[in-house]
Amino acid sequence: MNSKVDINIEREVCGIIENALDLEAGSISIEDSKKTIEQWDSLGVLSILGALEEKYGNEITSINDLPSAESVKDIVEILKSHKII
Amino acid sequence: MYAKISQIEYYLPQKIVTNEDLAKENPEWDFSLIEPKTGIVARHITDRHERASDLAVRSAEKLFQKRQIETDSIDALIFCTQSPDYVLPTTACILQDRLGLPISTAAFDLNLGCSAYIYGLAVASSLIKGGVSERILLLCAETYSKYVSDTDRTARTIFGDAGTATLIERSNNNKSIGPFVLGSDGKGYDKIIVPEWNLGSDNNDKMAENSNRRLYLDGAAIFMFTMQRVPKCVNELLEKSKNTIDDVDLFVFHQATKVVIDNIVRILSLEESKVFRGYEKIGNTVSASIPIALKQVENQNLIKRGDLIMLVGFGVGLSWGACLIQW
Repeated sequence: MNSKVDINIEREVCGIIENALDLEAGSISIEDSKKTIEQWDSLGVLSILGALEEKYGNEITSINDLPSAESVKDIVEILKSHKII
Repeated sequence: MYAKISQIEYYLPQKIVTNEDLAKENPEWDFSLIEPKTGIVARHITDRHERASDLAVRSAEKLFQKRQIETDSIDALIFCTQSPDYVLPTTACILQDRLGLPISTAAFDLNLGCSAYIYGLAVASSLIKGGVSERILLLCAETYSKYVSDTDRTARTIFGDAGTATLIERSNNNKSIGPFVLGSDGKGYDKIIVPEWNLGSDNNDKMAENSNRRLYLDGAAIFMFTMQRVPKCVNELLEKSKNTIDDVDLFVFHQATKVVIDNIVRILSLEESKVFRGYEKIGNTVSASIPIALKQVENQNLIKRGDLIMLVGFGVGLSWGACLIQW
């Protein structure tokens, strides 16, 4: 079971992605991915990466596996593994 | 001894491909999502038999005509391209002959993409400062469209073809070109790549099936590189030149796409009024993008004599470069 902290972090990342892709607040969840979000395409991913940089700082630009993240869960896991969140 | 940019001209192929054209051909491409990210609504594309040298010749002839230049006075020709006419010889030699430049002209290609213009300026400026040359023709021309697959939604909506000609001459005052910051990171060589040689127009149909002869672009990885490297490059140049961001009157970045420039502007906290954007009707023209942007800046009277302009190129290689020019 996810802790309250985890849920807050997940919600924060979902919010960043929603903003980046001009989606309604609360419209995506940790289970969403490129397959379920039409706007998360090869150009949409640039907006997501830009928004993550804005939130978490320039150190995220050296995370090589972040550009190939396929889902919200992937992003959360990658950021956690690099101790960004 | 110093070097200065005396004149810039550019040439765009006649054929214009708009987003509407692409949408008709690819109904599944949603331009309501694409256009706000790229900021590009149209691009110029070469005809099947039109090569990079043709674009370079057109732009050089325009420059000669406008400035009434004797071709005999050119003593070096640098051609920046990643879409040369042949594997060998160097296209610059072909251009020397086609443009009627004297055989005493030093002619060579620079195989670089989005950073090429900065490298070209650095080499030209060094040749002049070193007393090797006095009047240099720096040509940039790209036909990336020949590498791009018809079904590649990202690359096809971004890239356009173009040619430019820049005249660089000896100057007696120090209000000129430089200093420079240049860099490379070959670890990212495969992030923008055409794995096998594409010989150009004649064999295009046969090659269309071979994905190794098509452009592969990892846009997300390149974007990360840009966000990481470009701000550092700008700050290094400011430090090297003992300037601050406020001292720079205008920033002319490689015209990659809207989303790329938006994020550079955000990270560096630049004033939008100090950043030129000229990609809308031309797209990303690789090595030609900065000289085209500079000419657009001049045509739109956005700069005045003495203004300090920072030029920043970045991309395929991975490679980057920045310099200051005093207009």
